[in-house]
Amino acid sequence: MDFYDLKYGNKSLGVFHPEPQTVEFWEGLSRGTLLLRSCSDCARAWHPLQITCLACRTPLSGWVESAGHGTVWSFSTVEDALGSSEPGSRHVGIIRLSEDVYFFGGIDLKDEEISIGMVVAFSHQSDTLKWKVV
Amino acid sequence: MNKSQRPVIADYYEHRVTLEKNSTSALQLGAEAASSLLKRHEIESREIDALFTGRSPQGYMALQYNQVLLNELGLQPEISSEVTMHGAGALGSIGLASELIKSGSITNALCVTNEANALWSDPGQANAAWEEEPWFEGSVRPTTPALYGQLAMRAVHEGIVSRDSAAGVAVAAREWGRVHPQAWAYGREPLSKEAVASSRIIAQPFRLLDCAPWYKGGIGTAVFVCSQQEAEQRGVDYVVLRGWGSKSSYERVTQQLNARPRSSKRPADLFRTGAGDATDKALALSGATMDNISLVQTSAPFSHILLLFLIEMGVIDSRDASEWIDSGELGTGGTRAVNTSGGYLGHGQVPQGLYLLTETIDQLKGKAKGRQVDGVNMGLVHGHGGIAACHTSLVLSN
Repeated sequence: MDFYDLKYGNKSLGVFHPEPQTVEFWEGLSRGTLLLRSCSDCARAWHPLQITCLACRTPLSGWVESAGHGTVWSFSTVEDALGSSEPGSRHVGIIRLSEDVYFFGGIDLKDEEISIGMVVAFSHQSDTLKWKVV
Repeated sequence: MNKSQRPVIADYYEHRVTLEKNSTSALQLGAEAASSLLKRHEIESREIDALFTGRSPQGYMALQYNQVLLNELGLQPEISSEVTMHGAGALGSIGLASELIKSGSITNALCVTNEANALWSDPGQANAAWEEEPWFEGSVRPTTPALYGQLAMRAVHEGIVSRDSAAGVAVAAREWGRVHPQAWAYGREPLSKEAVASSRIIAQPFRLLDCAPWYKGGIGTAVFVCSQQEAEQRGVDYVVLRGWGSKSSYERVTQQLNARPRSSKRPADLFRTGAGDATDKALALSGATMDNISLVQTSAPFSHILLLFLIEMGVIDSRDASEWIDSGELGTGGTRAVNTSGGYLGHGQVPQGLYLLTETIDQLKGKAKGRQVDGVNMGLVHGHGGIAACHTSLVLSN
């Protein structure tokens, strides 16, 4: 499991590891599986960061595998001139999964023009949250 | 209301430095502003009942920042706290002070907010690291504009704001900033919508001229809030703090969407940020409506977001926005003055920038030289923080 070095300018503010309750999610991601939190009481699916079910207040302990597809709910771009070390534009957006859970992530495009409502699928190619157009 | 429990803003002191004087810390700015204010009114340390600060400044990160400042100022108040609702805590500290005065538990409070991050780092690069969740958002390295861009792109998609109207907002902000001697836009050329639309993309849908520049320096602001009785005893020209409201909606941009009741038929949105709720509460406690407000100051670092806030706060109707902006209502000739300091877009953004408040006070006191709006008697000032996550609104009158 990688660690995340939080930067403020060129200075490190400390090394962070994932929230303990999300470790299983990141391990699933490295296996190519997108996991969601699942409420054992009301069966609702939640974002992996969620600790308790907001519908019935039950502590979340279970996981359910997502179908891995959704639509672009919104998006924006990251330009290289604004702090990114990568050349050109990258797309980042909010994806609404078919399970009605919203994720933030990168969106990989080839020749497509991105639009809201576009159907995307979880990308297995990396251990960061990325989506590809299908 | 009894004068001993009626909160007023007696006075403020603003201490600014520019990039040329770059050895100043945020703590220095705050401490010097507070000391100058106390000295001006000959207020002894023992007379201060409460000290509140906004959140710890990015340019001087310290736990219990209020304690650091308290230590520097030699104060021993009955109560002291940071008000940490992102940038909304700056105005929140004043709202909290007013509640304690209304309750009778204190008669005065010193509220201090200061920031100098632009002196010590590149906030354009550093800010996203504070705003984003480090793993689920930070792992794909969004910029702050790209995070706000999520709201704005969806708002454009749903027809709540248009790129053209947003450009008009930027034009009006430049107009006001050009007449404020301390604003970023002071002395710059007027802006056109065409210039906004042809500037380079920063993060969709924001173009360069849709974005607030960072204020090239630091600002420390100390505000003395007290009862009307104390202000009169001290013989100061005060403004009345009629009401305030606050709302914190989420921390991560996706949480607003995930947390909504899914049984609800209401479609998911990010547009009920809390700006409207905070403003409604402030107006209700003031016994006023938006029709009574002749001056509005609101914090937003991007033109589309500024427009979204004005709509959510009830300043304008989304359906009329285009016509309203094109007719110059947001500019120096408008009937309801908006962001007369230039706001973040025209003045330059300082996190927790209390210059929106001090501008409101100046306007209400008739001291906004060169940009004074005629007939201002009640003003609304709104501050926000996070990715449109936390909000505080104050209603002031003369």
